[in-house]
Amino acid sequence: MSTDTGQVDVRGPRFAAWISTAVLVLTLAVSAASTTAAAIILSAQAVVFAVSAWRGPRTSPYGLLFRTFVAPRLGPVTEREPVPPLKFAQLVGLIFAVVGVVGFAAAIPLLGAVATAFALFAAFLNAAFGICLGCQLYPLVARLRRVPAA
Amino acid sequence: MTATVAALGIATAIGVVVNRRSGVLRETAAEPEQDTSSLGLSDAGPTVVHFSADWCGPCASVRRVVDQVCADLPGVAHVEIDIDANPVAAKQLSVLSLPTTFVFDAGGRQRYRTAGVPKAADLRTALEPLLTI
Repeated sequence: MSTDTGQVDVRGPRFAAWISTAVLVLTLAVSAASTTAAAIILSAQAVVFAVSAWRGPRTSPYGLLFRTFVAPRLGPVTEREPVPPLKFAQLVGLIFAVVGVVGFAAAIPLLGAVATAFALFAAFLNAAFGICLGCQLYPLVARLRRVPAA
Repeated sequence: MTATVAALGIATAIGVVVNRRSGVLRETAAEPEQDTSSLGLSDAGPTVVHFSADWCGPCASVRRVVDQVCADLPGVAHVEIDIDANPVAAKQLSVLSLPTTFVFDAGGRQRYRTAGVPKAADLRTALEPLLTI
């Protein structure tokens, strides 16, 4: 597992959230015509979530796109944010994406649509408003982790 | 289509409300005696207590704001508590998210609380009357 525990430019995760939002909107739009196609698109997004949760935002697929094509066109970094809550947020996204894939693949379109809508809700909240739901949950997780040691 | 509209609509509504409330100092209702002896509060003037952690991004912004206000108002003390190092204090003050900031008066009573990054002007406005107590 990556030891990416440093800090990243806040604009990177926001960029990734916009792409996730677009992919999730596409998934829901396509699901009206083909749940199989929706499952395939959502699977690809699930892989992105998994890699991001595992390796961190810096070396995630969307993070690499940001570093290669977007960051060089932007001004210097003015604000950074820590990596661990971002990785946890990607893990939460992965859980919803996996449930969505199972729903679409198992011909339970309602399950697929609801799980994808939850992921879309979180991704759009992050992209448009800078509110990372997974990051908000992270203190509770950190607190639960501490309990056995207390 | 319904799921897309619902997800984007609810996210927009929540995003607007949360961002509007973030960092707004709220006066704390009078509480029964609270044991604040372990927080390291000043007894000579008000204290800003700010909960943070290594993994909290906006906590650095809170630190900058509080340091700036404390520089302007020398009678104000600043205590930063790492939530990982002092979970007991976080539990005592029901801190569920970071950053969370409190203002205590010289008597150790909690007067204000906010989640998010407070504005320097709001913090100054809240602290100035407490300096005269």
